[in-house]
Amino acid sequence: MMQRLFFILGLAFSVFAKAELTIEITQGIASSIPISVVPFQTTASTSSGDVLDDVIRNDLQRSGHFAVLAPNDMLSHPHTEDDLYFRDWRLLKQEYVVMGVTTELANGQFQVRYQLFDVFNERELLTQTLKGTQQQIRDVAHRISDAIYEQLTGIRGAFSTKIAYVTTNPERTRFNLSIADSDGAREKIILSSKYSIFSPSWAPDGKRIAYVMLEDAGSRVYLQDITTGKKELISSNKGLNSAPAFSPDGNKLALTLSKDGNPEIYVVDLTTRKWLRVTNHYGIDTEPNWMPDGKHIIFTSGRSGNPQIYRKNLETGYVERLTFEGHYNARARLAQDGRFLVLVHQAQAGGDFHIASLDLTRGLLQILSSGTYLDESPSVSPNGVMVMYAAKHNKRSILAAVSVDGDVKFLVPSKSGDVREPAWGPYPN
Amino acid sequence: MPLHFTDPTSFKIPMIGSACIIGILLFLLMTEWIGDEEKVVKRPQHIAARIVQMNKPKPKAAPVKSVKKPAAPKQVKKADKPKPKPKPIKNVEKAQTQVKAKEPAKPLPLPGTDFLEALEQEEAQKALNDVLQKEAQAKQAKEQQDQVADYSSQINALIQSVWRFPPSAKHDEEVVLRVYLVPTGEVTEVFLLQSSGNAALDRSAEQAVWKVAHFPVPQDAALFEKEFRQIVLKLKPENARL
Repeated sequence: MMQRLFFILGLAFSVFAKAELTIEITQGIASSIPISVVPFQTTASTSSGDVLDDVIRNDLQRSGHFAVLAPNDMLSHPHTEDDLYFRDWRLLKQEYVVMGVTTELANGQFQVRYQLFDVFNERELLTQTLKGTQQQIRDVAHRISDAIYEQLTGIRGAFSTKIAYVTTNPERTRFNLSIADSDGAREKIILSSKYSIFSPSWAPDGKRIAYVMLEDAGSRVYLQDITTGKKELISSNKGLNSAPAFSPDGNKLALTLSKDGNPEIYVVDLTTRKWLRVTNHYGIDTEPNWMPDGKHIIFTSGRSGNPQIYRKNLETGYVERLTFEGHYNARARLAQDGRFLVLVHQAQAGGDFHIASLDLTRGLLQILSSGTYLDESPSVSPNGVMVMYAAKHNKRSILAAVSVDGDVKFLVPSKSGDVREPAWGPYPN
Repeated sequence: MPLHFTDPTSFKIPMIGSACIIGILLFLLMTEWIGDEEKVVKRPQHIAARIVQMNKPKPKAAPVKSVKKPAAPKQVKKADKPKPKPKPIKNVEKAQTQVKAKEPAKPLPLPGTDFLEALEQEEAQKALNDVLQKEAQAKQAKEQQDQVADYSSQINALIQSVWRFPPSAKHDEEVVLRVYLVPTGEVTEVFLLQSSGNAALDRSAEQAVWKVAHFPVPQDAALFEKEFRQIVLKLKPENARL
């Protein structure tokens, strides 16, 4: 009995005592993940012309975190596990494979079952069955992209989100506030006006949008319900009424008003309509944006001579300057729980305006945009990965997107005229 | 010439024939053994110490032969069985000649006594060598350490070149894996010892090991068993943005 005890104890100690060879790896590669989305097997005829797996491939490719293999470069197009040979995909240096089967249901609906495989660990990571109508093909595709994206990157996908932006005809006589998928598809005009529209801002519930309209009598801030189209006047003070921004809980709106002489930041409670003045400085204070905690507001201020970004604690009143690099920093938005600032940056007087990110933890400023000029109004995707902004390109104002790490850039196609003032919507509920 | 069971003399020629065959067989057996032993001696050529040890069996082989020797009479006896007495006389003669023939083979045990001396010498040498060996061992240990470090850094470089961590990876996260290898360096199993808390990062680490699939490991079997049969990998994405 005792012997056995000693034996076990000895064994236990030997396990602890044995120093296994430990190798520490401290560097890896941060490049795009190779993934193959095999064309789905389909018995359903698509009336809308959208192909499910095309949309998924585009989504993943545009995110910048994936290198998507073209279907022509695949060795085979398997639809079931039996036809899937991991070795083939390893040969193609693919790390993940997505397969799917679409079937037509009665009443014009369709069903899709897809699987996500890990090629090197040789296992299934995800399988899901989704249903939808023919009109929902893109929605279903974006949802699949979201699920794959989250599974593989550890970041929530934002392909199902919407963007709002303002379009103008070349004569600048008609202004439209539009909403579209985050890839620019399925554009829908929610407001058309002869007045200029600025600064659309999404409510966190994704159901309302606040914006500024430059009417004959001056600027006005409105709040509009997206589905009903009903609009509500929020602010029509003397002077400037601009830059609305919703608090994280959606109950308050921060604005810039110049009713006291020079632009200052105010917060209005949307239910009680009580106003609170946030800044009080003879310099210009504008472009407020809430921190995720709802207790801090960041804003642009000219108090040091040139525009720079500041942060104010609403409870203590403490104001802190955040940007020190560059001649001009403005229109800041937050990314990734407030760790990064995305802003409009001008390195020195007279230089180009670019979109830059500032890592508040490490204090590193990185210029993200290139190939465009007069970059303005950056808006960050809710997962903090992509930035959409307006830029001048071939003498037109267009939308462009860049990842917060600067690795991916693409232009969002537009039909004609100018596109400006993008605002990335929240996650759909 | 017909065989008559009643006439023992008619078995004379067959008896001589069978005795000859037995003799040849025995001779063949003996020579074959010697040949085998020599082959055995050659095989472990690379280990000098063993050559001496393998010589030991040689004298032992001789006793084996003497064991076989009695076997010969046995066979003779078998031959006897069907036969009445008259034959045994001749058989004895044959056996005697066989014994005589074998006695020249007996000198083999003599090396046995040499071997005992050799053993003593060997032990003396061993004692002498021990000192040298200890020095050599210290040197070897150092060499082994260098080898372990060398292979470790090779493995490190290989994994670094293929480890694609996800964009959600934070620079202070850490995944610890235990990897099981076979002597060819092939990965047989990867076991997650400690998760980073980020499933995507954990998976990327496991994937990196399978991407390498074939680790560089030392040829020395003992060193492999000691250090590389199972290894622990700590993966930290220190160059991650977050």
